[in-house]
Amino acid sequence: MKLLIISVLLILTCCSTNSVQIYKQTEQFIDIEVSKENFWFTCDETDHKEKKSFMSFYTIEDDTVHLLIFRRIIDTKRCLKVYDKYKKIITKTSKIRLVGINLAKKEKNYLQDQNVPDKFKKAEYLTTWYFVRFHTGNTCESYFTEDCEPQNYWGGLFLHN
Amino acid sequence: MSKKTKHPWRICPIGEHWVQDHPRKVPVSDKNPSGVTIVDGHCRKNPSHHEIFVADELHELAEKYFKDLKTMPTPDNLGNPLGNNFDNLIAGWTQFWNDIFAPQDLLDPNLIKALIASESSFRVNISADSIIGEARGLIQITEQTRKILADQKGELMDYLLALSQKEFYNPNLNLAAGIRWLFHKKYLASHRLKREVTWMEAIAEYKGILPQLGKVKKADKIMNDIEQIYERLNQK
Repeated sequence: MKLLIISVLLILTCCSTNSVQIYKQTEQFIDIEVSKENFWFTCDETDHKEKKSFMSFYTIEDDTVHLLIFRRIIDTKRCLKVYDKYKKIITKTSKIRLVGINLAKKEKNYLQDQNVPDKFKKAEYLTTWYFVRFHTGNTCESYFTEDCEPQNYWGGLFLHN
Repeated sequence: MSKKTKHPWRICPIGEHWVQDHPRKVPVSDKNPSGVTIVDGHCRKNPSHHEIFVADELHELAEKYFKDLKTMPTPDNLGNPLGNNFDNLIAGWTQFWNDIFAPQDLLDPNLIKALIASESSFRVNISADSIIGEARGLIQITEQTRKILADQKGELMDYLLALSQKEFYNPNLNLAAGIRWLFHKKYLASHRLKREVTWMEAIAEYKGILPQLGKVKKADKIMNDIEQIYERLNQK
């Protein structure tokens, strides 16, 4: 019985740890892997008239949403093309590893009135990052073409040493 | 500008552009046994009468005048080993375009340094993925902008830059073009809003987020980031 309880505890620990894994995090940088349940991404059209969107990636780690956005706002049409490309890649995997560099410090979550899934509204805090890249298995997609190369792990971050 | 005057740094008269020394094939003779002669650098007329800058002149001009400028960006590398590498180019092109367009509120080279930090983290050979929308080099000039800058029948009335895709990775050419484009963005935003916009608003226009400011948190955060870098540079 004791062995069974320990095994269950081990499995639970294993699975909860596996849902979010931080490879590296500083105030300026994050390298995080999340299960698909804790991940969502969208073309957030912020200007309907001009048809401009922010490609936005949302992940949850405990009480914090990590929001990663592209450095530049882009045409919604182009954003949707990127979305489709990324979706095809992400559909095939159960986990997504994301890398970002800091844009804004941790703050009170303000997503309650935004068009995002409920789970991202419930977290207490939110940190905003510039999106650098994501990995799934052997696939890597980055904002800058060069940022999937290992020597660009930090994505041009300042003060990473 | 109603009347064009020649900038003292420019090599050629108004309406002409500089062509660097270059080899030319000639018939083989005693004088030219190799069949190649070197044509000296010279000015060539622009048929459209626009002021058109090409790479040769932009390089010559930077080489000659950018070594000893008075108004430099703050020598703070912002924690990035590359952070001070382009200060002379930033200072030179900011001064050049300030001289040409003579705005009431002069562009501050520290603002350009903050913009570069935000756009590329001072990386020269960096490009946004083509599916996202090609943008190249230090100040991330898009392919669409590159074409507009060179278009003699397009939205720029004058002071065009005819540069290739490859040339846009060169930091000197990238900044010459990027700062010229920022002046145009300030003009466009001021015209649209029917008031003279600030340089910070011109930066937001450059990034395509001016209409979102104050309404979209993501846009505000991007501009806050630049403002913080700019404040840091101006405090030192």
